[in-house]
Order: sequence, then structure tokens, then C-alpha cells
Amino acid sequence: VIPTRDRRQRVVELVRRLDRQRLEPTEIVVVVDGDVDGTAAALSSLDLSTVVRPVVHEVNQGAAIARNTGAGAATGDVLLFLDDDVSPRDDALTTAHVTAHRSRQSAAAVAGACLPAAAHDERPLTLAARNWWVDHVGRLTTAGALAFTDLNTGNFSIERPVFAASGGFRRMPRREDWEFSYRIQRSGVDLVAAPSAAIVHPTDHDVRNMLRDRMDEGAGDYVFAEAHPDIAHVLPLWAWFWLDNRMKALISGIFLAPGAGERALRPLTSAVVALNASGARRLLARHVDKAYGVAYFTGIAKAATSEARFLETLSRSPAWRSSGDVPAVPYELDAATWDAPDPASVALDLTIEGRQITTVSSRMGGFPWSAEAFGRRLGAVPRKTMADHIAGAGR
Amino acid sequence: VNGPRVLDVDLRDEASPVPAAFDDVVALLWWGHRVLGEVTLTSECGDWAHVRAGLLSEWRPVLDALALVPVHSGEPHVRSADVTVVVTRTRPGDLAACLEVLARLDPAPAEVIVVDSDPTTRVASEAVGGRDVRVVRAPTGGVSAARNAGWRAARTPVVAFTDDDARPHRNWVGALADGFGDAAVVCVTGLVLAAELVTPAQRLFEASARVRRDFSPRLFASPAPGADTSRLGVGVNAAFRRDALERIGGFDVCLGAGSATKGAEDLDAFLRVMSLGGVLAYRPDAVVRHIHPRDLPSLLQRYSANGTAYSALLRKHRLSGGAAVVAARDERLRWHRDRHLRGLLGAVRRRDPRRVIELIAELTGSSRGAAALATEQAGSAR
Repeated sequence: VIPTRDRRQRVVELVRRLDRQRLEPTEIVVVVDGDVDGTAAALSSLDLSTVVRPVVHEVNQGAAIARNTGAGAATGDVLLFLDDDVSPRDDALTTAHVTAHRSRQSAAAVAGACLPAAAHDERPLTLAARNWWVDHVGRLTTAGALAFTDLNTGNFSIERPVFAASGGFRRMPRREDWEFSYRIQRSGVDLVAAPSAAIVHPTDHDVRNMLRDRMDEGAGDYVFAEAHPDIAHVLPLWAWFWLDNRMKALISGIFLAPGAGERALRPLTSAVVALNASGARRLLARHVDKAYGVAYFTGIAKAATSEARFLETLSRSPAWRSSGDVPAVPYELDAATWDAPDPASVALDLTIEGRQITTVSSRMGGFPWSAEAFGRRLGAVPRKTMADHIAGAGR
Repeated sequence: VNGPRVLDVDLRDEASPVPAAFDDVVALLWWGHRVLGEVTLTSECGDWAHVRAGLLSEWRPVLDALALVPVHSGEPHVRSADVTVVVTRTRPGDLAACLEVLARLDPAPAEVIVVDSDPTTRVASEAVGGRDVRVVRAPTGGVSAARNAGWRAARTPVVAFTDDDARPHRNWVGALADGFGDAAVVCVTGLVLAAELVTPAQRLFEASARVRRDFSPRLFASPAPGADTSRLGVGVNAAFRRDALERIGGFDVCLGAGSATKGAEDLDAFLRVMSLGGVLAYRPDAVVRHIHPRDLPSLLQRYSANGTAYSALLRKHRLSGGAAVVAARDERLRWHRDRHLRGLLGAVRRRDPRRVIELIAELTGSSRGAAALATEQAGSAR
């Protein structure tokens, strides 16, 4: 199932590549989410051995709804969701997904690896984006049980009846993948990694799009927290607590006038674009986190409509309670793999060979439960931000 | 994890009530049912036995004094079974949590009445669920109308009021009932503390409230507004004799949250029951924890609303005729001079921008008090 919009050439190329898979798909359902460039006609004219079924949304409804439409139209036993701008690394993508499902007794969602394509330039943000994908793949290849944040709708598969029973994706500005993943995990579906089921993901980017995505992630995280307040404390929006009072005051202003937040982003964006082009990493690092923060909380402000409502949502997390009545969950560090702990846990008692080291608050964020994440929790490694990615971009 | 934790700590307990891993704890110290005071404990304070020994030594004179003052002196005038609790202002999440706390009150009240201020929704009935709680519908919006509907529905001689964003202490009803130890007492108020100190706004609010916090029981019999008025208590933690409310006609619907005047219906009711010759007893043992405004805009609105409400209250008493006229005028002068003028100058001198913002917001709000009261009174007359 491939949702697409305004990417005729890329999606046609992807469909051709899928047709050449060793294990031929039952069908390829392409949901054209508003046909603005003749994608449906281009797909219909393809002469392939695999059945290609374009489904057209007259009006753009977003990728989440497009995936639901595609899943509803599909007939195969296993649904493989792919983004329209990816490319299978080899001809074994479908085989790897199906094998992962067949090797399991219980219902599972299989997260394939999204490898970053070769960087098309050496600019800090390009390399930072590539590093993010490298971290993501590293996580899939080294972890035990995955966290809900590990599922990427760009490359994952699930049995069709399991998907139907889940109710599909929610209509959200973004983060529908995390929300879906969390929901199915809660219902008992395992999330498993299949690193050999690999696609190549482009690393090209546009700063304005990145910041717009960040805004949508803020809005999406808020909607997620509203739906599942019990784990609001592991979402990036919980970072509100770690901001200093000056930044909190700025965010109060954004809540009062989200439009002003968007306007404030324009000069910040221009500065980031210029600094990225010039390669001035230090200055860029200083500006990019600020721009990301403003974009993210502007998204939250637009979704929540008021700071009081935002905080009310956070207050429904068990981590908000100040009475300390939520016990910490033991977590052994000296283990073969680091499984993602229950996301509902508020605090973890970290142990090595059963000996307690320290108690830390649960926080998932982007790269959960890696050595680096534990290092951050133990205070040995500072929290990794976009600026850190930029600083390490060349490595 | 987020900001200091608030805890109730009974010094009689030898087992530590403080979590093993904690940052700061703002602890309300109890000795049984008696409140001693508030302390901030940090992780550097050491183990509980050490902390407890230090606190006991510090509070020894108070404990010795308390031993001389028995909680009960003879037959109580009011028992917990004579008290009905009225909960107002229904917000879905808060109401369910509040009712959960009320269900654990010990001693329990005769009845809990929830006043549903928005009967068009099912918020109240959903929050109530299967609990043994009576739901009463308020005819119009506003906390005064809701409280009036609540006490009129009550069948007991004493009615205690709280809001859904409040979390009364387990012994709240017992302490309020004890407050009516004399027939002259017509109203009992108590201590209001933060239920959480998670956000900067809540910590700011608590810091300004802490200055005026009183841990000593007091009696008031001052029917006219004055310097003591702000110390009388607040409506989120107050109990009245039902007949006193009947005599004053209940809360003034021109005042209170939900109206243009945004508050002071509680202070107005306190003053009016005292004007009938009654005594108001302030009992710090009657503790209610309150969820303070969480965000900065709401905090600023609260400061401004406080100014509007108190200004409207003074205006009302200024227009009332009688002895209160001069008292209200003098109190307004004192309020602006001591709190706003001197307070602002002091805050500027101390370079305390938070206090400056608080006082400016309050002062700005106070300029709207008279007009707000006139609007409400005109609406009420229609």
C-alpha cells in the first residue's frame, strides 16, 4: 500500500521496482491522495506482471487516511506500507517481510529498515538528517523488543486482519505512526525488527519543509497525548519541563498568538537556511534548536488552542503527580539486548547485575534505550539535540 | 520529578513519608489532626529519622502548647453528620478526581452534592458515575448561583463548600465541624495550599500566597471590609450554618467567578454573616489543596480577577449604606496605598519583576471592578 501525492515519477519507479521483487506482491495498491499530476493515469498505463490498483481520493485527506483507504482496498494476507519516495534496496524486500511474519506464532507488525540514500551535498543539515536515519537503522539492528517510536510508516508490514481490528490510522497532522504503533502494542501485537527488509530513503531536504514537519509533529504529539495521556511523559512535548523559564515565557506568548510563532519562524528559517548554506556549524547549531523549538510549540499551540489545555493534558500523565506514588520499574542494563520498557512506566530503577545504580525518569524521544540514551540519563552524555547531530554531521 | 512535591507529613510517624529519591518536598507538618506548619525538605536533609528529630525539636514549643488546648472541649456543637459538602464548577477530569478524594473523607459528611453548572452536557453525571452523590442543577452559570442551588438542596444544618479543582484533606469535614465549637460561630474557613507545584505559574502563585499564609486558628467578627478581609478565607474551603445563609439570602449572584466581577462572593458572604452578629472561625486544620493556575496567562488572569473582584466587593459595600460605607472607602485607600503603591515601590527596589507584574495585573483588574459590579447589578435587576 503506497499513499502518494504529486510524485508521479517516483511512485511509478517504485511500482516498477516492486514488480521485480523475487516474491511478487499479490497486488500494489497506490492511493493517489488528490490526483494533481496524472499519477493515476500513469499507473494505469503500466504493463506489469503484478496487479497495480490505483485508488484516487478526489480531495487530499492526508497520508494516514490514504493508508487506511489502501488497506481497505487490499486483498492480500499481509499489508506492506511503503512511502512513495523510497526505493527497495534489493529484490528481497517482500520476502523479508513475509518471512518475518511467517516465522512468528503471534500477531506482529514488522518494522523494516530505512537506509539513508547517499547524501547529495555535504551541508550540515543534510548530514544531520542522514545521521538520524543511520541511528534509526542502528536501533533496529541492535535492539530487543522495540518501542512504539521505532515504527516508521515508510516501511512496515502487518497482517491484514490485525490492521482491520486496530481501526487503522488516526487522522493526525503527524505521528499517526507512533499512535498506531502504540495502540497495536497495547492490544498485544508485537513490534519486531526486520533489518533485512530494507528500503533506501532519500536524505534530500528543505529547511522550510523540515520546520513545517516539526510544527506538524508538535500538533501530532499533542493529539497523541490527548488520546493517550497515560504516556504523555514519554513524548517529546514533555520536554516543556526541561525548558528554562525564559523559554517557557516565550512559549506562553506562542500559545497566546500561534500566528506570531509562525511569523517568528520566518526570520529564524532564513537564518537557518543561510547558516546551513555557509556551513557555519556553531552558529547553525545555536539557531536550529531554537527554530525547532518555536516550530514544535507553535504546532502544539495550534492544536491545543490554549496553554491551560496543553498543561491539563500533560497533567493527566501519571508522571505529573507530585506525590511520588508511582513505583519505579526495575531495568537491567547488563543484558544481551536492551528492550524498550513499558512506555507507561514513569521511572526506571537502573540495575547492573541486579545492583541498583540509580533511578531515572522515563523518557523516550527519538532514540530510545540506546547506550547513548542511558548515558544521557546517567548524566554521562548530554541530551542529543539537532545541534549535536550537526556537530557530528561529518563523522 | 517536576518541581517540588507536596506532601502531608505526620510527625508522629516514624516511617518516612518522603520518597527515597526526591528533589524538594514542600511538606505540610501535622501532629495527628493538628497542622503545625510548612517546611521545604531537600535531598540534602539526610535520612528521615534525622529530619524528624530536627523538626520535633523545632516544633516542641508548639506541640507543648497544643497539648494544653484539647481538640474537643465537651460535646461538639456540630458533628460531621451535620455537614453537607457542596462541590461546584464542573470540569470533567477534575470533578472525578475531587469526588474520589471526597469519598475517602474520614469522618464522612452526611451527603455530597454536586452542582452541575452546565446541565447541557453530561460532564457531571459521567464524573459522578456510580458514586453515592446527589447532582443538583444550577439554574444559571456562575459560582454564586451554583453554591446557592447547592446549599438550598442541603438538608443538614451546616453546608461546606469546595470546588472540583480542590482536594480536601481526609479530616477536612471533621476539622470544619470542630470549628463550629461555639453557637456564635456561623462560618468556618480553613487553610488552602497547593495541590501541585509543577509549573512555574503554580510556583509563582504559591510564593505570593505563602506570604499571607496563617497556621494559627483565629476568630473574626468584623462585618465591614478592612485589612483583615483578605485573611478571612476563601470559598473553596468554607462552611456556613445553613440558617445564616438563609438570613443573608445566600451568595450574591452579582459577585463570583462566572460573572463580570470574577470573584469575592465568598468574602462578601463572610462579611454579611458577620454583620448579623456571627463569628467566623479560621481553622488551619481544615486543609484543602487546590490546583493553582498552571499556565502564565491563566495566572495573570487570576491576578487581574482578584483585583476586579476585591474592587467590586468594596464598591458594593460602599453603596450599601450604613457603617460599611466609610469602612469600604478607607479599605480601598489602604489597599491601593499599602498593597499597590508601597508594594510596587518595594518590588521595584528589590528588582522583583514577578511581584511587579502581579501587582500591575491586580491594579489593572481593580480599575474594572466598579463597572463590572454595575453591569452585573443592571443585569440582575432586569
